[in-house]
Amino acid sequence: MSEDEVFDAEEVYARASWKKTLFTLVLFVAVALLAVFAISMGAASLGMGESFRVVLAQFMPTEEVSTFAQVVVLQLRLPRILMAVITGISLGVAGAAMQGVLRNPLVSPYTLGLSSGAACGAAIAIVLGVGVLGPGRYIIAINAFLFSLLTMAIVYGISRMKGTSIETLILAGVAMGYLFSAVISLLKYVSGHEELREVVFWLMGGLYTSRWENVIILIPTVLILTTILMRYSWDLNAMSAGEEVASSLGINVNRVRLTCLTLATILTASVIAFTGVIGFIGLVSPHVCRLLIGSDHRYLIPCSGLIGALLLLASDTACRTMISPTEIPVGILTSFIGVPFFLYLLVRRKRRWWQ
Amino acid sequence: MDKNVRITGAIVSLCFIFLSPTGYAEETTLPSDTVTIVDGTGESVDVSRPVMRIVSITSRTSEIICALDAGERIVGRDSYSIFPKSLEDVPVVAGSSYTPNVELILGLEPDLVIADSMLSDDYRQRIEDAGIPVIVETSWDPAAVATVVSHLGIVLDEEDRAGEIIGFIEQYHDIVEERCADLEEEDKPVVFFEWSQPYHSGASGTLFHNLTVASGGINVVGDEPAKYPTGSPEWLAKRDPDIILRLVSSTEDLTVEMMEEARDEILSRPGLSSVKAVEDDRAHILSSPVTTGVRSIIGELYLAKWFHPDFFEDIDPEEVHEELIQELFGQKLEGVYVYP
Amino acid sequence: MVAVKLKVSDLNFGYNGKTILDGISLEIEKGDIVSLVGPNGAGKSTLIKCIDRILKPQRGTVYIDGNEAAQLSSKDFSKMVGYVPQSTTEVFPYTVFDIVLMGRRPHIGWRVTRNDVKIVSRTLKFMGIEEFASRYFDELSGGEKQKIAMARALAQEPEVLLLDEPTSNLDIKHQLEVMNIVKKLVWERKISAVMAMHDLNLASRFSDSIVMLKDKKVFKVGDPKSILISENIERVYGVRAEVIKDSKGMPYIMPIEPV
Repeated sequence: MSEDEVFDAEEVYARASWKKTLFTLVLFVAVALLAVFAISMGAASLGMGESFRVVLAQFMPTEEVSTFAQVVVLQLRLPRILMAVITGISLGVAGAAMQGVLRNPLVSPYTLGLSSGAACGAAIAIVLGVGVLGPGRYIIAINAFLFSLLTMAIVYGISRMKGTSIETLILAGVAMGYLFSAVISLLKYVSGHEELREVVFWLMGGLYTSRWENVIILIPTVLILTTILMRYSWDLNAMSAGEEVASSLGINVNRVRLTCLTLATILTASVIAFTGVIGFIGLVSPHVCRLLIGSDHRYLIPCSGLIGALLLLASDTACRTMISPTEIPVGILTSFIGVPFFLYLLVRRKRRWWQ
Repeated sequence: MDKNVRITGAIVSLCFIFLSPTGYAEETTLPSDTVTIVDGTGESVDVSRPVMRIVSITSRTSEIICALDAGERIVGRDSYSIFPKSLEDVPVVAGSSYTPNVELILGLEPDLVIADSMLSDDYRQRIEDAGIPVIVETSWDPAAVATVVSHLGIVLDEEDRAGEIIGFIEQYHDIVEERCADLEEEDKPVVFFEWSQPYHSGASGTLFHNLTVASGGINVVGDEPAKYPTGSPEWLAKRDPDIILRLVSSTEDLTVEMMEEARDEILSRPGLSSVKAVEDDRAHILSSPVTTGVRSIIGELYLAKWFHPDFFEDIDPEEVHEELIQELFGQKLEGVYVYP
Repeated sequence: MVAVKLKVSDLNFGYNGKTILDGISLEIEKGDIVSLVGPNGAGKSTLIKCIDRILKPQRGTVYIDGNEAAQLSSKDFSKMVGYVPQSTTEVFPYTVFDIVLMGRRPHIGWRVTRNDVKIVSRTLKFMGIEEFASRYFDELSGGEKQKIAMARALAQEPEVLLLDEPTSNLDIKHQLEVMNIVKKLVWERKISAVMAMHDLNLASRFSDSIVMLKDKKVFKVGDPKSILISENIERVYGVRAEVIKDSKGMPYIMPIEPV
């Protein structure tokens, strides 16, 4: 090696870390900017200026804004934007964690049957009007949430009989997914037409029911769970080399797996209880992240969340403004936006961007 | 004394002249007031009159509002409110009551929003939170039409007109009811009323059932537990209905050919060839507008005529339809609604 | 008196009703290179994994420095014992540096310290792969990957290194490089190495002690010269072989034909 090519691994690492941190910050700013932009977008013609005045008026009561503008920005748009961000973060983080735990790039937060379980719970609440508990308005959400957890418990229980390997987890998840889908189909069949429509809409997923009460519950939940998951970043990193190597590095593989899966499950279940099944984000956000900054979970988890937020917020904003007055279900748009972007990254892969 | 009485009399008379209602709702000189309506969901809704800006996101109430001569007050509609044609220039703010665009609705600053039961509680809440009253009616149900018209009449301050409309409808409804009152069960034809998918029908509680029964027929799926059951060819063959009806709806205007095609399709279904209705060639097609809302009386009349031709020889539903359209909307009857 | 670093006592392991290891006992002295040899399925890898607590034996005890290994927490144990698997696949893209950094896991609390980074850097230098630090793992050759796996184990700063067939998938150049590194480690850092070896000749050349496994048990233990003789090879491998001496006087096995 020549003099000027002396490789200082430490320096390389420091630079790489710095770039990853920068990337995270950039994403954070991007989400904030997009949120700001989204506030001014909507079917009603309120410009950016007026939208801001509404937000300002909350802090400075001297500002004069019309009730109409207030309702639109504060009751309709703002909770929805926050919901999109928090849901995107949740799905992105859960997806990254699941992929890490299950060592499989094809995994999404729904792989273990969560989506079907939640949908089944929701369908039961919608069609039969029966919920496990909770006030009328929350019956659907609580049912969906509990059924997600139930699914995860069943899948994990089944796989434990065979030593909790990744393969049995995934297979059990797929099987339970099909089972619940069948139950949903049955419910759809016997339901009246209004309920059927509601079930179908729920399955397509959407953010139009975003309310402040839900947002307020979700923000701390998602942030806390994400922080806890981030503490397992190192373990997830080590587990990517396989169970044996992870064991040899002092990791209790089964325990870490169970914990991370549980956290990811709760994260996912919490948001889809309110929004229905929004697909694609949990699968693609971690991948986009990896293509740009590699798989170090210390950065992957938060960045995947932020990318999920960007993706979902962009999709939802487009959904509600593209062809007014109709709203396209957001799940459709996440695929249309996400897939080309993902393919672009795949084709133009530049992994050594820090050299 | 005389002078005082005369002056008082003059003042009182002048008061009468200037304060009496003129008969045009828009120029009413009545002071603004509030009425309370118990709507189709049982909610008590307070509406302050006059109601000048209405958003109606369900087609049948849009029709009724136009029939009540208040069509110009509609400032926003759903995509299905296309009759009468005058509505086509009104901005669309919802796909249907199921998918309202709340921002657009609020942007129109309406005095009142009218929807059908597909409107979710959540959306209703949001609109009401913005200070706009929401009335939800089951305007698709023929049995509820009179109530809906009456409610809207009150709200729009067109009670007289509402009365006229209800009268027109009730008049024919009474005839049907009277003539079918003494029918024995065996005189009533067994009817299969199909819609959407083949062999898909509506049991008790649906408009299909209500229409059938009101016109003196027996709904073959009346007792089924599922509200919208789907049968199979053998099942239907076994029930052997006397008459088969089919509801068609289309985004384009329906033509005679389309209806004829639909009818032929039914009559040529394998497995149904032994069914009485097919053998007697008693299959009829009708389209959605005459089965719900204010025009449902026409559907009722057609059904009555098909079920019991002898009892209703003197009635020509098409004529009644022409009369209805003229009376209610001031237009000529256009389009095809039944076949044959 | 050289200390006994690692001791295995009466170890049994089996699964699904099948026994793989039956009453295995052996001692490894500090600073020794020990090769476990035997035919396929003899249980070499299994034994390595049992020692490393990757597999849980049904019976038996592993001692480190005289203490029961089972008493140590997984973290503390991994600070003492490093493991190099036979082959590694990484499903997701990681850089070489990141992978070796994972070896610091037993030492890392929440944050990666400068010290951790330093140690990784030094380990990479030691293994001669520093130039690959920012390259992605899956871009490298088999030999380089094996070195990286070793580097990861070394980053744990272990006192015992377990290697599962470290040379099986390598070309001769890399085989020699890896074995020389093991030798260097043992010399410089007094690490004890236990290797499941496929290649008898490499085992012969580089080990201080050979453990022959046959029929689920320890067949013979000793230094290469006394153990690697034709009778033993015939009994353990079922192959008639000629044993000659290489230029350093170590046994060199030439298999002739199956018995």
